[in-house]
Amino acid sequence: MDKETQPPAASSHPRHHAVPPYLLAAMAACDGAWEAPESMREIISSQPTLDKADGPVSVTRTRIATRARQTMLLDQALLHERSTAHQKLTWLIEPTGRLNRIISDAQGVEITPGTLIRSEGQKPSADIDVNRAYDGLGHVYGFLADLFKRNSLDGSGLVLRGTVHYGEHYDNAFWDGTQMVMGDGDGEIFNSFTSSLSVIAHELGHGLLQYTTNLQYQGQSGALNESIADVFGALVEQFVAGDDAAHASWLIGKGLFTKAVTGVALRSMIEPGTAYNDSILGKDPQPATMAEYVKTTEDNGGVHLNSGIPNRAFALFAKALGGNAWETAGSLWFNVIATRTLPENADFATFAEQTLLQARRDHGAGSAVESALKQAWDTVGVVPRLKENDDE
Amino acid sequence: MSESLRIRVVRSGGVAGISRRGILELPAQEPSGQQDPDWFTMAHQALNQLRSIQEPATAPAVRDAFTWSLNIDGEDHVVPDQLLVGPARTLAEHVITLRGSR
Repeated sequence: MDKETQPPAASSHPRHHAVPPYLLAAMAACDGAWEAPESMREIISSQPTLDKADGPVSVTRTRIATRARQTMLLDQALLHERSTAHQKLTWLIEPTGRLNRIISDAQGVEITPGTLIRSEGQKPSADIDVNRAYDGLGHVYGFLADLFKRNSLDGSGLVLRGTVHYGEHYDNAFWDGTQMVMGDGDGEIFNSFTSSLSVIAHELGHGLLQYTTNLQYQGQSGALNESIADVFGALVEQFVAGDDAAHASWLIGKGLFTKAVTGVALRSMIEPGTAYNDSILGKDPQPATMAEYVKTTEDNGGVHLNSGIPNRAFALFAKALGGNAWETAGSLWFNVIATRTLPENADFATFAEQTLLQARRDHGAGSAVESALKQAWDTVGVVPRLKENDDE
Repeated sequence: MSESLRIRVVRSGGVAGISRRGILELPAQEPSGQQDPDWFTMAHQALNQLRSIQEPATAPAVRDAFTWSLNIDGEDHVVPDQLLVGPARTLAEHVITLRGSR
């Protein structure tokens, strides 16, 4: 494919209206790393598409697809700003759908989903866990819709499901690949896992990653998966509370420990390793820099420990920029995973590299945003692996 | 008369990322069948069970689940939470309630 027929680079977005929307969507999907939402598929399939076969042009195809996805994200941002004037166009990137929540009760057994207890639009239950799960899912949906114009986790209105009262005194919450699952906690160390919005949003953050860049759950890519889920959890909580980066606690799971525990939360993003220091639990083992990176076979290679390093980079970056963390810093992180420019086995250095490339696309080379981001990665000891600029 | 048996269990991961671990030592002189429950028998059942667990071909989509490491009589097994069932689960859950080592 010659230069004339390539889609415009994101930095020259005034040209992007020259590309018909169906073609842009087809290009965005041409490397197989992104699947167009259902409402877009009809129009794509009725129009000429690029050859999907693998071959020597796959590098070109990846570049075309990445740029097309960048352009679509820019479109989303522009449409967000002028939403009233461009309502006819929004359907392309906002397929029809709406908030739809389903909360079930496992009634103390380790099964999912359990018994349906509250569905969308029904009045609050007498059960606080049901209501916190329902409200939490609503906050996550609102956050994605308001900020990123994204219709649920998959961009296509995925029903948000949650199970509460999973197991007996169950000390965990998890994402099972289709829904979030919340335990009640043992009451001695842990309260109910619905008591923290950042934990609810963290679980949904895993869902968002599953539908965007499904980072492999082992070693550094696993720690990135954990870190991005923490970033998402913190941002949803900050957004709902209206806390800017300077005033936010940067804690994950505040309120989850009972009063018997000497600790404030599960993790501190701004000061990893300081969330608790307790006679039973020991000291928070999260590292704050690469020099302290934990090598272990437990926990899929320490995915919940080493996430402290990229967590701190994000928090430092957001605090350096000032204002609301979900705006510039949060958008940048979201764009990296939503455009799928990151390999699923990415390590910290590769991720740092992609965030810097994204900062240049969004804010320009040498911008204050790029400098703040470089400084943040430098502080935590991650050296971005920057490839040569071959085509930018 | 059974040989002595040592069982080490670590439950790692979970959204909290806090590991729990314990050790169960079953002394040789304690005759099998006189404990309540019979941990010797259960440990051998668990071993047979753990040896036959087949990991799924594709990477599981579950996130924040616990991961269990069991060492029974020197033999190591790492099992995701959803695959740890039956006697192996009963044994593992019992051992992490014991104060072995941190």
